[in-house]
Amino acid sequence: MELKELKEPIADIKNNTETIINVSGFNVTFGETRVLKDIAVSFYERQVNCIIGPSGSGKSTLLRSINRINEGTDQIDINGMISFKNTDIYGKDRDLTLLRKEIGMVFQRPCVFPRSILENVVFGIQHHQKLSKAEKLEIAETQLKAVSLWTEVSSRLHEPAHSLSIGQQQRLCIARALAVKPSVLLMDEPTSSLDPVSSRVIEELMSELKKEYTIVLVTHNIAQAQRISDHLIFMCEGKVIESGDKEKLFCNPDKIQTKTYLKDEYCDCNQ
Amino acid sequence: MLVSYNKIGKGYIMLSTYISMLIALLIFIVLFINSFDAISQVGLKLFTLEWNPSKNEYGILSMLYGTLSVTVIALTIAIPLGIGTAIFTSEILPSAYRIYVKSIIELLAGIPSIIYGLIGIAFFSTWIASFFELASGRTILTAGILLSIMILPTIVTLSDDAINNVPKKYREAAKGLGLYPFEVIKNTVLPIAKKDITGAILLALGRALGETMAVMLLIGSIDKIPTPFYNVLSPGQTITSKLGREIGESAFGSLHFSALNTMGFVLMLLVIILTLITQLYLRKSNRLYE
Ligand SMILES: Nc1ncnc2c1ncn2[C@@H]1O[C@H](COP(=O)(O)OP(=O)(O)OP(=O)(O)O)[C@@H](O)[C@H]1O
Ligand SMILES: [Mg+2]
Repeated sequence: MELKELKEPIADIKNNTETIINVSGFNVTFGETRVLKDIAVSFYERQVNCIIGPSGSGKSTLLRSINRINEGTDQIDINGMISFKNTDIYGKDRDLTLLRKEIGMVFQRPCVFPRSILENVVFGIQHHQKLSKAEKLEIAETQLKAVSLWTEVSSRLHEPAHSLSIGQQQRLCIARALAVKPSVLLMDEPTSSLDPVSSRVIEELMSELKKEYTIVLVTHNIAQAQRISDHLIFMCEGKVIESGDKEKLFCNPDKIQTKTYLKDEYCDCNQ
Repeated sequence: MLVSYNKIGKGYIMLSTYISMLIALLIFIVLFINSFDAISQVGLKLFTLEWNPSKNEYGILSMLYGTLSVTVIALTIAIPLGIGTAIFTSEILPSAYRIYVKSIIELLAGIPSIIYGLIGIAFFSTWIASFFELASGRTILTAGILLSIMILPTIVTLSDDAINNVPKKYREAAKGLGLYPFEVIKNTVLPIAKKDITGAILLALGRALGETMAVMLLIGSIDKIPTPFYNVLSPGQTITSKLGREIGESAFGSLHFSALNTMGFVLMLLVIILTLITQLYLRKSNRLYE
């Protein structure tokens, strides 16, 4: 009985091969340097899609292209195609606000606004719909519970968010992103500025969140990728070297570079 | 060695702080001492309308009114215009052009006030006169408008810096939550920059209260509160223009001289009180933050 209960969700995930975001022929150039070269990759629904690769390989650039937050950077040139639920993200009359409502983002360093904890949680959502005081409290409670921060902050919702620890702030940022009700959550090294314990809390949170959300996670931490990812994408020097199931990439990769990187965290992509 | 360097550094900083504090205090004391005769002899009659040194009447109310009304007009025009411009230069203008636009605006800040005054007399007051069909274009409104142009660069460049100094991460976080660009500016950037923008406005306020030359040339120099009092299309007089005109003809140590000093003292009190109020307000409204 117990075994069955455990098995089912795993089987569920394995069977889920629905892609939600598809990138194809995607290029990004900053000034003269080409940062993303002909990227073609898919992200799977309700899975933890993990992008790994050495520093400067373009992981953040790819992630930030998905919600188009890179736009407005000086001298940036973007071409290619990213589709989200079969609609072109770079389509001509795409409403960026609606796009970012669907695709939330969590940054490397927690960025809380100089407001109270409560105001931080509802900061995004209150720009999309009018909320009464009671509704705000309700949303705050739901989302803070979702990131398991509620017990820690329920008595101090009106205190400044800056008074929280960095790990708590990061969870607050996740709650803030969740409150907008996205279907995808982009996370750029969300645990890299946290201590090991807080990192584990967030990892567990991600495993929990993937039941409802698609997670695209950038991480430097190979052990972390091994622990929580379902789908793995290995990038190096602006190219996707290999992508596929976590087990496959860890146990039996097609490319020698993938093997070296996952084993030694070293990469020489020109091999 | 490091320790002694530290001590020297600390001593230097303390000394310069004390020196500037001392200078401010000295100015205050000297002004007060020089005002003492007028305060003790004229007393509450200082706050009347008649200023007539030959009859020993020293009422400063008209000048006080002039100073306040000119400043209010200048700020009413310059604050929205200046902050709007600052939002444009820092948020909307591509950063490659920002530096040029800013340099031009900063150039305006460097123009001596007498030049503003001359331009004001040559064009501005005649425009006002013909537009409102007045006998003379030298009015409180004319001075106020010119003053607003003079303080505009201060507000623009300092607010632009304030907005530009708001870290990019806040904008990205807000954008990432799906806020529209103007919501990002209004609800994320401006609240964070508010304190520094207020500082910019305070500095501009100080300049507006203290500006002498241009105002003196344009305000008409009549010691009267217009009737009705809000009719700013009449000539007036500010504390500074009065001082500029009369301080040379008053004998040092006379009651006239002392009364003029009293006006200076009042002006300084005004600046200090306004600064304190703003700071108090800022501290209160910021209690939740940081
Ligand atoms: N705004 C920018 N202007 C110019 N170059 C940029 C910009 N942002 C990124 N780059 C360049 O693009 C390349 C990829 O950067 P990116 O941040 O995507 O790497 P990354 O894989 O996320 O690295 P890290 O793991 O260190 O975060 C780098 O060489 C970087 O210098
Ligand atoms: Mg990165």
